[in-house]
Amino acid sequence: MSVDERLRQVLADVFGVKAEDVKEDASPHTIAAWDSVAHLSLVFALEAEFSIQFEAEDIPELNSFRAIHERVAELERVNR
Amino acid sequence: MRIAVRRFQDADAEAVDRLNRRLEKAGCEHRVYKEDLSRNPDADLNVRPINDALFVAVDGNEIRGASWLREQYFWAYDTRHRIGWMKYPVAESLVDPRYAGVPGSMILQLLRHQPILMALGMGGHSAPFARLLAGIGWKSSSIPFLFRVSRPFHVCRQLLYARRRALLRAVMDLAAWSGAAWVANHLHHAACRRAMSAREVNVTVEHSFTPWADRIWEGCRSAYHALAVRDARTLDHLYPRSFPCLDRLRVARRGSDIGWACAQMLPENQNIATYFGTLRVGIITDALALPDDASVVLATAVRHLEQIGADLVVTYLSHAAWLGAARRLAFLTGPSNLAFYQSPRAEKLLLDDGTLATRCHLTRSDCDGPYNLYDT
Repeated sequence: MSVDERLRQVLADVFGVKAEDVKEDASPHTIAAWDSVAHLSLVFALEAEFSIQFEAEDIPELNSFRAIHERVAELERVNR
Repeated sequence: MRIAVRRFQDADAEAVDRLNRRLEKAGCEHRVYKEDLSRNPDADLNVRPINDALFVAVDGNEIRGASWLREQYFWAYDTRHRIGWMKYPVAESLVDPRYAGVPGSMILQLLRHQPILMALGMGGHSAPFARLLAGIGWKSSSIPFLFRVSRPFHVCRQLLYARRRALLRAVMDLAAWSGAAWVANHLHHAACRRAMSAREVNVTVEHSFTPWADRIWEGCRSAYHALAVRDARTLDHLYPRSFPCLDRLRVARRGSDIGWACAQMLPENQNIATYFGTLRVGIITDALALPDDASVVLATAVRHLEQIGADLVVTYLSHAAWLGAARRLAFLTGPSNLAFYQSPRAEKLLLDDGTLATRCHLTRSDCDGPYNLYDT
């Protein structure tokens, strides 16, 4: 599975939506269930799925599909 | 948006005002209250035994959230430990979903500053902040809420919290007007008469805790697994002379101090009226004695509150000995909204064997208490 597909699946699992409904522009504005509690669950789910660790300061930056994609890709590159 | 959480500075005042305006504009009732940094800029516990410092979540020139951190000493395993309480957390995520990540970031950064961190109250386990703490794996429990009916007729007629449903309202009216409530309460209290006995007990209402409360503290502290330091200096800071409506009850038996209790009538405000209507509610906010003397001290506080007109006496207590004492004094257990959360380091300190808070002596005066009683 590509990073894109894995990301969609994580977001879908956390927010309780279908993976195909997680679009490129997904954000707290387009997904109603994306509140502060779900946001933290998303962070932990991403860390588990990609074996990465976000810095506490970076957590608020992960507020859209694109931003998450960029940050995950960056951390994966560092880990390699 | 990279968020850095740090101590509030005077230069943040305008950004805090802007955050408050955004919260207000969006219809949110929460506000960030600014810290007066001249009071204790270094947050030194040698200067003040309890320190309240405001931490802010900084996003460039804006503040996106804030939380107060109360630091004080706890006594656990016969040693003093510096611990923290998280109080009044507010974040812009309440009104703008773009900032959904701010509260989580704020908690994780506050933990770096004080890893032994706890939170109490927060509006119950279903409140957003409590759910967030549960989400990051903090251990939770509720501090039991106890109440004792002194005037059953008034309680049946006025306790709005219990009168929300029509059927219950009808039953309570029937119990009040038929005298059944009085009979049931009288029988319940009669069974507890021995525990309420005031024989050989002397109580005085004091203006301060200095210096007599130190002897009680030193004699009691090792009897508890963990509790907030309650020496005279800390108590006089927590309950200053200027504190409204608070009675400091010094309890002695055969001439020797055995404990103290803080008791007061709840203020009349909208928040309290929502639950208690026009009832006169007395609260035992805090107390200390050896576990074996808990009954005597609680009974003293109950008698005092009844003498000054309480229809109902309430308290929050966690320790098993105090809960047992309350039950022997005819207290009943009600639904508690006093959620208690501990970070992993706090859990290790307080509850190393996985038991609940029943070995720790926590009261309504911990965390933001007793000032929470005056929020409207």
